[in-house]
Amino acid sequence: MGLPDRHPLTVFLSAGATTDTTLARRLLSRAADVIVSWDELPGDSAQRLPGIPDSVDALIAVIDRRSMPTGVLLELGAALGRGLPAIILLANAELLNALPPSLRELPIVVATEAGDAVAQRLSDTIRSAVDAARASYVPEPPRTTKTYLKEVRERDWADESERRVATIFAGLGARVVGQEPANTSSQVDLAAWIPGLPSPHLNPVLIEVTGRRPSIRAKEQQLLGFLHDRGAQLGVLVIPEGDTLRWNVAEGKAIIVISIDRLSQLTADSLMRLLMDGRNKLAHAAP
Amino acid sequence: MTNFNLDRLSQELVRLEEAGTATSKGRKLQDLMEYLLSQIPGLTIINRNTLDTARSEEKDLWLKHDPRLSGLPFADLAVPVECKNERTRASAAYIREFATKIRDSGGFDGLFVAKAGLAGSAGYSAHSAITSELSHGIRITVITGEDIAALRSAEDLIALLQDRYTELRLFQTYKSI
Repeated sequence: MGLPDRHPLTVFLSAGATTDTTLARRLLSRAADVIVSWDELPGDSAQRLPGIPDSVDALIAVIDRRSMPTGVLLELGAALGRGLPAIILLANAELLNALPPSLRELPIVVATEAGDAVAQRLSDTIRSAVDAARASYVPEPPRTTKTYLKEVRERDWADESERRVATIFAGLGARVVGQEPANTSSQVDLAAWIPGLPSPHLNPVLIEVTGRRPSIRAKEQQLLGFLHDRGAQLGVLVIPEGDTLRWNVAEGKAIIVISIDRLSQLTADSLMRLLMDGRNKLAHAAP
Repeated sequence: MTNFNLDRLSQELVRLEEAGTATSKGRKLQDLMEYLLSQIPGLTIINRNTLDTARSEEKDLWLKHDPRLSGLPFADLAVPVECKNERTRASAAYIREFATKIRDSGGFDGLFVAKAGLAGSAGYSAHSAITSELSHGIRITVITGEDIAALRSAEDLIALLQDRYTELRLFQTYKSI
């Protein structure tokens, strides 16, 4: 059950000092009852920057340039720290790739010329985000379905290592899709949907399984390329031997290099902690 | 997790085959999808009534969801659902038209339900259109009538959508359709 559609909403409009917020205000006028903007705050708000009023239900950050103003970042952080939903309103879709990884996990709406359709989407997005923020939520551990495990085992695999890695991930609750045909050297081996990651933006995780005596650095570079090609954030490079477990965070992507034995010791919870560690490294490595 | 009413599901699948206009047939598939999607936790159905070119009332189906609860692979919180209940496989033109709808409304994700599947194969026709739209950031997750007939629970539907989305991101097209 969500909020009644007529529940009055107050949104905080965060934008750069030189950002034209005319379109954003027009769109928001159909989605919110009250719009409070950073430049309308009373003078004493400077004493408690970023002074987002207590009455605000959600923050809308208008992004119209590749480098984000510090004030917008501060206000986004303040909103998220208070448990307020924050939504990114992009001036155009090309700016998506310029967003820092952690902001891509937020709901994003692009302000297009089709005003009515965008206003409706923005309204639905704000309502949905506010509902979600007010709902109590306890993360559930990933679930494994028997039918899916059967499907994983029946597929043709490039080799025993790849089959074993796919089965390990499936056993941890992931939904695994294998490359077709298997063992295509120019393509990544596997992709896995990991339930429980905090944003669909972090899925799928791409997985590359090396053969014996691999050039690990070359494989990391190759996996980095696959992540870029497919717009994915997290990668796993599985090596056949040793006790390796380390992260490589570069170019806005995070790759874990892990031996198959270490991988086989993970539980669903420890896999989630590991991936969240990578996601946090990614967020803090971004410029 | 909710099990579907299999009697209702099989009856509605039979109704999909009944004769009618493209709009009325599409509406039957929309009704079925509305029932199936509404069983997913954290998901709300939005119906927006619009007028088609013949000025007859058309239902515009959207879903609104909390991804933490729904488990759905859509980063957008509001997602349009396009239903094509036709004997022939859905064309590239349908895909492009749906992508325009997603893009114009300021989003990135859409759910396309094609009862007879997609025209062509990987790299051709509707599949090629899916790849082309993905290269511009528009992610169209596709399910078919055959998929729907195999569903037994909301958990099955969530898993299917996760698999299809993962397949799309891995192959940048669909190989299972």
